[in-house]
Amino acid sequence: MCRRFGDSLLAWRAVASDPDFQAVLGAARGGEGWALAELYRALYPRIVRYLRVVEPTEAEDLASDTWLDLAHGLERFRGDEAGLRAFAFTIAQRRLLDLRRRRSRRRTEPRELRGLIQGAPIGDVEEEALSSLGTDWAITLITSSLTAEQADVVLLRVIGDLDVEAVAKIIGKRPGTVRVLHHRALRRLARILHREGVTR
Amino acid sequence: MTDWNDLPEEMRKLQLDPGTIDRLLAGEVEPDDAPPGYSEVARVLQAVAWARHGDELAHEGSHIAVAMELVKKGTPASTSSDRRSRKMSRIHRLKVGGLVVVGALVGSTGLAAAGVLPDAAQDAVSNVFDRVGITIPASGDHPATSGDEVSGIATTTDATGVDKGAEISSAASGGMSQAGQHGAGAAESGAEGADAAPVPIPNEGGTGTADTASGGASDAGTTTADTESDGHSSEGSGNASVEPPVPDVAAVPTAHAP
Repeated sequence: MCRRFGDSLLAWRAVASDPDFQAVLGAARGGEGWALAELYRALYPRIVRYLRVVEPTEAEDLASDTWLDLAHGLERFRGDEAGLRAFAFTIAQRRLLDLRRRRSRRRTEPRELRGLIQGAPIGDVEEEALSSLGTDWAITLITSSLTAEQADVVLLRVIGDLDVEAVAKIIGKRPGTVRVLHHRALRRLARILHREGVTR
Repeated sequence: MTDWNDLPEEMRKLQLDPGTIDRLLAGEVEPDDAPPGYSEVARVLQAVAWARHGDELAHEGSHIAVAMELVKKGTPASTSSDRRSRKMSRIHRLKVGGLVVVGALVGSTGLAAAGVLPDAAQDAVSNVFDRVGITIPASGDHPATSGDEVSGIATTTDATGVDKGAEISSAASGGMSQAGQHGAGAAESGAEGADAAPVPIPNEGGTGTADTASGGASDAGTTTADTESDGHSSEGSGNASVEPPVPDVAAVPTAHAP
């Protein structure tokens, strides 16, 4: 598994092998602070990043709730580190859906999520692409040029570091559908970047 | 939007296999090593993976503390409680399901015995009970076999009055009707009632009847009416005496004296 995405992944090296992970998990279930901290550093930044992209205004609250749900559910969890990551993102996804359901019941005005990304250079992709390939720009490119499903799949796979099966369970689709979605997403990104003249 | 076919040949030939896609999404493909047309895609995906604001762990202390509290005191108790609750819930569901099934069986059997189920259901229940020796009317066993038959009886029978009504009713209900079997017939009843009244039958006249029925109290009225009508009221009495009214015993089964 690739370990070069983000400093937070260094935390996973401590729990990389399954016996080590199971030891950390067991200690975390027993309420050991150091073990919970290991899991927190490995999981929480990814969850926050994902939620900041898909629900910027409520990301912190959703992430906190997700973490507490995860801590509460540790006793019931059985699996490896990838399974725990999928478990965490499943909780995050459910929290996200709950929030959107509550919001729809309150009949608030729907807002365009893609427009809420701070500093998003929407509408000027070419100029931004030529000047910077920063994180915000990359996220904006994905969220503004792909369909919601395609963007969700790509973000879960890249930010969540989840495999196809885990993403399929989280979004409630079949693995084959997930593969089709991210295949189309990458081709679409390639087309856009080529058209905008940033392809070498 | 530019169609895929409008892109250069180099792009059109570009096909990504699943393995390459997985490596791109996992950040294992450096931009320079990416397939043609995908170097910038690889760069974008790496940028997304590095999406950090540096403040993700700002609340680590408080989050860990709350998690420790949750894990230490909340989880085991709630877990066993949840298990117990789930177990009880299963038992409860089974009980309710059993009651529903029993209720449906008893209810449908009763309705079948009464013969009021829809034809298809009635036939099905009837067949089932026939096999175990219990007779339940089938849908074709309706007491009134046809309107024509009942109508035929009504128009051809020699019976009259109560007897005719009883015969028709009996035919229409398949013998279940008890019309005309209890109590006296209307004529009989009327006769009894007439006997009870202190007037002769047949009645001989309005004034006389009123006089007799009132025990002579109607004299004043008769006289008054006679006076007020200059003797015309006696005409009516006279007419009545000539053609005495026939009491409508069928319409008034029992006569009650005032």
